[in-house]
Amino acid sequence: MLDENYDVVVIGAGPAGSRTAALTARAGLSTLLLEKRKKIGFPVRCAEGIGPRKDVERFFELSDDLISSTINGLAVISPGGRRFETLRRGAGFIVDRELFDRRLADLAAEAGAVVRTSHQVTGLLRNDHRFKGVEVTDLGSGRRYTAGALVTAGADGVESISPRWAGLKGAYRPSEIMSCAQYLAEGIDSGPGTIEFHLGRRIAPGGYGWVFPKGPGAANVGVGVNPAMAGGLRAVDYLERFMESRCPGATRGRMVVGGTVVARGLPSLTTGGFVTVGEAANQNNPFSGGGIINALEGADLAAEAIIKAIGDGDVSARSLGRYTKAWKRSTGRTNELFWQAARSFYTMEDGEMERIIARMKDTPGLVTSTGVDPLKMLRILASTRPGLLFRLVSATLKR
Amino acid sequence: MFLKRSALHMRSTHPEIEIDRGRCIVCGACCAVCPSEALIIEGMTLRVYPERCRPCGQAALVCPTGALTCPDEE
Repeated sequence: MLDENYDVVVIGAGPAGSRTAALTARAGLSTLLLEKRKKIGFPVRCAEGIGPRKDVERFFELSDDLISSTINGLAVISPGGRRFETLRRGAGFIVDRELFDRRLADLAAEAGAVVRTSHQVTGLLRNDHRFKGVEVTDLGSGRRYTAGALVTAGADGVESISPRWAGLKGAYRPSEIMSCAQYLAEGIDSGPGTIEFHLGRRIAPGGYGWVFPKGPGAANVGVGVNPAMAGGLRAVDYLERFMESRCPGATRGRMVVGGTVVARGLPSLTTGGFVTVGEAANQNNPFSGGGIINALEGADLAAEAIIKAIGDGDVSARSLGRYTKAWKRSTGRTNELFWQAARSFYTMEDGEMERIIARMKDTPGLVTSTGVDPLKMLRILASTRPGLLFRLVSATLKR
Repeated sequence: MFLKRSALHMRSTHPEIEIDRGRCIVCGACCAVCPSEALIIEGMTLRVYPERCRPCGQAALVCPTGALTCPDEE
């Protein structure tokens, strides 16, 4: 006997989960959205950069209160300290992630989803054929209950276990997680609206350092490192070093740390009665680690497949598999290119990276209004790494 | 090599991953790499299930703040 029954149960009220819940609820499906944290959006575990307005507003209105600052240019600082700057008005925004996540959860609630915080999913329910819902603990009262669902959506982020329970993925290798640490630095001198990416083994082995302006004299200053290349040091150690070199006089404000999934796309995002979305589903861009827009895109495709499957009365792996296919045809494809590019680029020695960056500077159209063109990037990388081209072709054929 | 392995094995009967609560900010990076669900975020805290831990060192490796210490790291 189940305690409660829904059409859809969504695990995790980040952007992916809230967006999925909003869409299924709006389509008239009874939807339960569960978040284990007490407060949605808190604590923030993100550098808060997001793409241009037209990308965000495919999903919802990016109101002024969500925006900390506008990105008007980007600068890449090579391992040797050379600075390459491109002006791009409105290339993106630094958002207030706490408000951003809360807005998305509010939209789910307004659409009719039942939203519960401090409710932790402790297991999936299943029968012989498919997954049938979740086991939940109300962390406030300690009460345990079951919630049945025609489709369960696992959007539980970097630490996600639900897609592991569903057999869609295993534990990550350390190299698939970017270990990140960031200060809100105050009293920092940065170009107005220019985001900076700092490269090189000394600053961030296997990743990059960033400066994302948050307002006058304030910026998110952070590093993301590949733990397998970090030589025993932690992200926070690299952060201290980066602060010393980039803004020695700045005040160290709120610290944000976390892991970001930079793994290759999953072979399947769906099984009978279950789908996974967002970072839990490896939908982040594996080159930048950015994942907000990708999560919203994943959610749209997942919700579309869920709504159709429930409407057809068929929530089998085959029916929900539409979502996996749709993802692989869209951002999943670009992500594969970015993953290949990241694998070559971030393992380079500083000297080689220096040469590559110089070549990137001379490539017209590499940086577009929506970001980096992955094909152009790969072409440059392949010019110094002939093996890459071969790997790309064979990987494309295999998939 | 064999010696090292058996030493690891002996220790794994009493594994104890240590959390420095002052440093842990409950980001979940460790949970993402733990192969045996020995580390779980429950609400706003990181909970360790020592009986599930087979000390592989991965959690301590990815922790951004150095909040985790594995016995095998010493």
